[in-house]
Amino acid sequence: MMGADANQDEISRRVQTEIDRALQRNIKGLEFLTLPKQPVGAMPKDTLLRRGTLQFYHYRPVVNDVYRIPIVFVSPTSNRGYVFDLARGQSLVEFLLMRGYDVFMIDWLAPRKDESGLQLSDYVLDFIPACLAIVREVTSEPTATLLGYCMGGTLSLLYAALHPETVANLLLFATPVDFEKMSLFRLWGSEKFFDVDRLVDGLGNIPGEFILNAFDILRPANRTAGVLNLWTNMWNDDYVKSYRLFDRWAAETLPLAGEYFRETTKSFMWRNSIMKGETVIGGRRADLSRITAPVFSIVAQHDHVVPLAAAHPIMDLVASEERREVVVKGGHVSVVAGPGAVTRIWPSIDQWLGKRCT
Amino acid sequence: MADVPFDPIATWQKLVSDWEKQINEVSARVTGTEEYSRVMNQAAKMQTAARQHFDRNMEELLKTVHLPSKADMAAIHDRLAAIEDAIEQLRAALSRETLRPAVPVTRTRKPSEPE
Repeated sequence: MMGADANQDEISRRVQTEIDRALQRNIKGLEFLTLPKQPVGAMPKDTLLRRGTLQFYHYRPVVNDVYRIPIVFVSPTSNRGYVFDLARGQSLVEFLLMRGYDVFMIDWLAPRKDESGLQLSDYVLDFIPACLAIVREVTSEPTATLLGYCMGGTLSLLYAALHPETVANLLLFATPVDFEKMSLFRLWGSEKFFDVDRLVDGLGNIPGEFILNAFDILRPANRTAGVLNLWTNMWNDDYVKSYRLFDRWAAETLPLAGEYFRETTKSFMWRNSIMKGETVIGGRRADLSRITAPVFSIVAQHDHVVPLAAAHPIMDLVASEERREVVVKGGHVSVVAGPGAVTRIWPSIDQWLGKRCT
Repeated sequence: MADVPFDPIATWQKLVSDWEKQINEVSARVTGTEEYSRVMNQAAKMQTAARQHFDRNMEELLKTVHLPSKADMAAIHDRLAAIEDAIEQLRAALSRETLRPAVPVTRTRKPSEPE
């Protein structure tokens, strides 16, 4: 009898909880539809350089004694860098500042029409060096740790190959190098079917929607499933806030400079030049075997944008004695943000990086 | 074995998750073919051509009625952005000058725990 009573109590408690949640879903669902954009960017920063598509920040240190070697984030060219600094408690920048690192960030804005001629060489031989020169000026340190995500990681690798003496460490998230392994993108962008010249000549810069659509076609059900899960969790303020942060970030996918898109399509997608050591930037061959700085590469098991196999060869291409690859559960974004990153990935970064930044 | 009470929300979430997985798998099979790639690129080509054609016509129309076109507005936006950049560069240069004394940090930190 006692067992039956307890079971009935449990059922009644659960029914009550579900009724409460259903009510909350309706009330908060209405609020959700009328809310303005979710604010992003948790940590105070100073803009040190702004030049067209390029923005360069220095985050204000939160401790008096920082590690000697500064960290420079290199954001992916198709997305805003605030994915690293979404909100308090969900910010890799905040985490690193609290652990005593001096943090800088290269962020990108939508390229203007007159910037459609920007090439790979502008990013690798102008933007990154200009920012690192400012880092040297501000910190008096000759080297820095480069932390790159996705194509930001690829740019970091190419820069490091051409200027190995200025890079202390490389920390890479979901960074593609073997574009043959990006099978769907490679098929859609195949030389046989994809007229990149016509597209770039016709449009100038490649619209953000074009990039976002390509990501969506990779996993067409994700967006709908995300909305259904949002509705289920509408009663949970933390879930809703997190959803809105990531949704805003994804929606703000950036256009790409036309020439940069043309060059990366032809060189990386069609010729797989990084794997062959044949990437030429500004007349110089960017050979990753010139990289000797310690490398830490974090890749996601279920990344549909940059599959594991596209990032894995980094370990073989660089000449670094210290190189480490960690495969984590989750997808393309969960390597840099989200609950798994906060509890598992970020602490492992601190553990690896701390002794290499002194 | 203890009875697991029916949880409609967990069942719903599993349903959504299974549906998501199945649709993505089917889609990957469809989109991972040369035929799809050919058709998609053909459609994109036509869309680009139609967009350019529409833009040209619209520009002509706006010119006729003495209104600025999207290209005119974009040109003004670019000029304003260039002016903003120049101001920002001046501000950033001043900020860098004043930043060093404003951030009195030492750079001698060591990790607290061994790896």
